[in-house]
Amino acid sequence: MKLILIFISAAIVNNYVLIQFLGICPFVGVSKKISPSLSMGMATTFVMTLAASVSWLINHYILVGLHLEFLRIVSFILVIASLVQLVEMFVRKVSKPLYDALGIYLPLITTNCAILGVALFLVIKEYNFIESVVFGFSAGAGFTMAIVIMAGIREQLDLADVPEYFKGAPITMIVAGCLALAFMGFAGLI
Amino acid sequence: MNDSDLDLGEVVDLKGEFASVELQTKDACHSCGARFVCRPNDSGKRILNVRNTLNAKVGDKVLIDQLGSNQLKLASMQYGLPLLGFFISMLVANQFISSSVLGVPNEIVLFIIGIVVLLIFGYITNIWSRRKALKKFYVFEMKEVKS
Repeated sequence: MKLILIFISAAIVNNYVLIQFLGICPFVGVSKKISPSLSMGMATTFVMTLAASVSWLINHYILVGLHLEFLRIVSFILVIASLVQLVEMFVRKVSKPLYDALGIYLPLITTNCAILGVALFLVIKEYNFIESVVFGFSAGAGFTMAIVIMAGIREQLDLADVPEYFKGAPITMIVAGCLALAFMGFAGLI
Repeated sequence: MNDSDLDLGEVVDLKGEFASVELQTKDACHSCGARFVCRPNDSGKRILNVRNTLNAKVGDKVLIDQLGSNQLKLASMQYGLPLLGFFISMLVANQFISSSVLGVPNEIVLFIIGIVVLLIFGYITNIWSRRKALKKFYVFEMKEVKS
């Protein structure tokens, strides 16, 4: 039951993009069409889940064990960057067609602050290992949901009669604000 | 779809039915925090191999489009399935492994199980992508020759 609550909390109630305002850069930059945004969401969820599990192990067995908690942020940044580069190297080595098509998403994820946010929050919330993995997966699912909703609306906006001065960034910001307001309605659900 | 949704590139080489297209760097790249780690190839340029369906020649500017459905299939195979394998295998293993195994803490055992399943799915993806490549499964296509 607790795992389900963690999922709902991280994916909807405390959505990383629309409530906590983390990972805004890919949210705006890769949400023009649904297919690329869904691909980006999957890649981000993949990295978030892996980063959550590795960060928990590093924190629990190395940082806490050796009383090096003050190195938490630095070590998490290093872990995330290394992890992304490792996955990129693996994909490039074993599957060139996939790398050519989707490899560009991985370096972009390195600089997504939502990944670091997941790693830091799971320590603050004192989750155990499985809860941390579920938390990382749920945060990624929430990110994917937000970016796909945004892409769907932006595809529709291409067909709408938007005033000239609102085209581009202004209407995107207005839509993002409305979405954030809508998600604030879930506050208090858990 | 308007032209701003497409990527502009220049044909730099022709190899049989394929053309190597060097994509032009967009303005957004200059302010992107990932530009230091984003290394599309060894020369620092992003080169795509695209089927030369429009008989473009070296030096031609071409508009490149992405086939959304194919891209989604690839993303599902590359990230979606391995992730689900990693996630579900750890949740299932957690039901059976609640204490340390041979002195190794259960969290590390669960993580190793997840990584093994992830690698198995990665291997399956590799085989699948090679077969798809043989069947001419493309993500990018030429839309228009500009000059």
